[in-house]
Amino acid sequence: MPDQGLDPQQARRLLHDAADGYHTPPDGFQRIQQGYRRRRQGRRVVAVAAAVVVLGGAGIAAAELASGGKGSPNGSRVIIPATVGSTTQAATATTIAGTTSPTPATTPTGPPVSVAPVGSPSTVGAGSGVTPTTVVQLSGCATSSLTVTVQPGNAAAGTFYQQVVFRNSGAGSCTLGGYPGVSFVDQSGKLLGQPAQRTDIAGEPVKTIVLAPGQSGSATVGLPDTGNFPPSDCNATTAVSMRVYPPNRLDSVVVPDAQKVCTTSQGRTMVGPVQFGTASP
Amino acid sequence: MDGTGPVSRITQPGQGSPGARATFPAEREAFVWELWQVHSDSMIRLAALLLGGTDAAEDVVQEAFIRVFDARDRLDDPDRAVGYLRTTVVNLARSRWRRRLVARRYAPMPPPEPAGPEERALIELRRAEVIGALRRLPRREKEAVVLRYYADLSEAQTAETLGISVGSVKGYTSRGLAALGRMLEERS
Repeated sequence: MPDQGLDPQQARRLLHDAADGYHTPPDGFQRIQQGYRRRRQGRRVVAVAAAVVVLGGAGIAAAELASGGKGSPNGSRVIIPATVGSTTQAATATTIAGTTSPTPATTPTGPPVSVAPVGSPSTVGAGSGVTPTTVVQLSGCATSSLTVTVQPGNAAAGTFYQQVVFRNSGAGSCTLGGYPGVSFVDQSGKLLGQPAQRTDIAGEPVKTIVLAPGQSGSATVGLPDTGNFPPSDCNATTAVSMRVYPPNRLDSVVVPDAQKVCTTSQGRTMVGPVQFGTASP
Repeated sequence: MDGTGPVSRITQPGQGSPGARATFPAEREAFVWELWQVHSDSMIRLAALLLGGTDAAEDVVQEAFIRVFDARDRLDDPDRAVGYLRTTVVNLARSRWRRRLVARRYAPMPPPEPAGPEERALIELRRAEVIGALRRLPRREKEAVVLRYYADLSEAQTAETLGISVGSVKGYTSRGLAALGRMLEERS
């Protein structure tokens, strides 16, 4: 094809092939955290200096500056872990996600991500025995319509497995696809160690599942035994809760789940893609 | 504004007040982490294509994510955050490129995998050719082609990201494709 140039399909393929070789550096996120903290510290120094200057003039202005620096007041989110289930060890959590209203008691609206069902018809409804009748535009399960629980699993080869269960507690069917975000946090919700690495722990396929009301999907979380690592490499601590982002969601729930985790880059926890049902691998 | 405390708080059972220590950074961190998980590779790749496969791509993407981090809850809509990231990567890449820091100071990234089996060597060769051709493309054409065919943006989205008209996007894109075709044709 002399002089004709590439057609869009060729261009797509060539560019994707060329780009595929590049990956994010393993410590990329840490570098972002560091960069952000450095910048914030720098700004705080400037803010304090400014406040001192203003104080010389009017105290009120300084007070406004200080409260204004705390961040804008919209987007409140309250996370209320419910009481622990009666017989099982499963802990539950519910979210009320008020996106812009300052009062969290308003109707929970889902986050603005709309997840188109990406699953092919063969994966839709897998395991449920339900044939999808009409092709409805199902949207991704909003965090607020999911009840997230953690169930203990078994331990094997130095790793303890848990199941994060997503139960559709909403009124309609919705989809879940891919990996949840999982991390362990302390009492204040602060991240401990690194968030779980997304990997198919037991060769689970990445697919989109459909949850009818009341149905559940789950993902496996693997926690390496902190005892496997030299104490100085792992710097183990006991997490209070697990923070869970349902797949493709950017709001999370915090589920009580006391586990020993490393706070370094060692012994990283893992999380698999969601599967239909609650079966352990 | 009430000025009483952090934007969001997490209440744990058996724990009275959430404490004055803002839980906000932790949540923000988690938000950015999620973005990072999903989009860091595609952003690195976008930057690598725009910057001719140099390791400046990592700097640029890092800076873009730090800015999202910094934007706090002004950017808590994930779709907007992704758009912001992409625009920031393009703009930063452009200023790097313009200052010619790239050409002078940054060596091209080493091939990601050691060229072992022959197929892989061929893939690497092709990859280097494409990156090399992109480097020689005029900036606007390069940006339009990469956003349209790597980032899979529509013409309208590309126009918005680049701050130019849809008509210009069409022009740059077709010229870019033609030039790439010629360059890659010559080589093979």
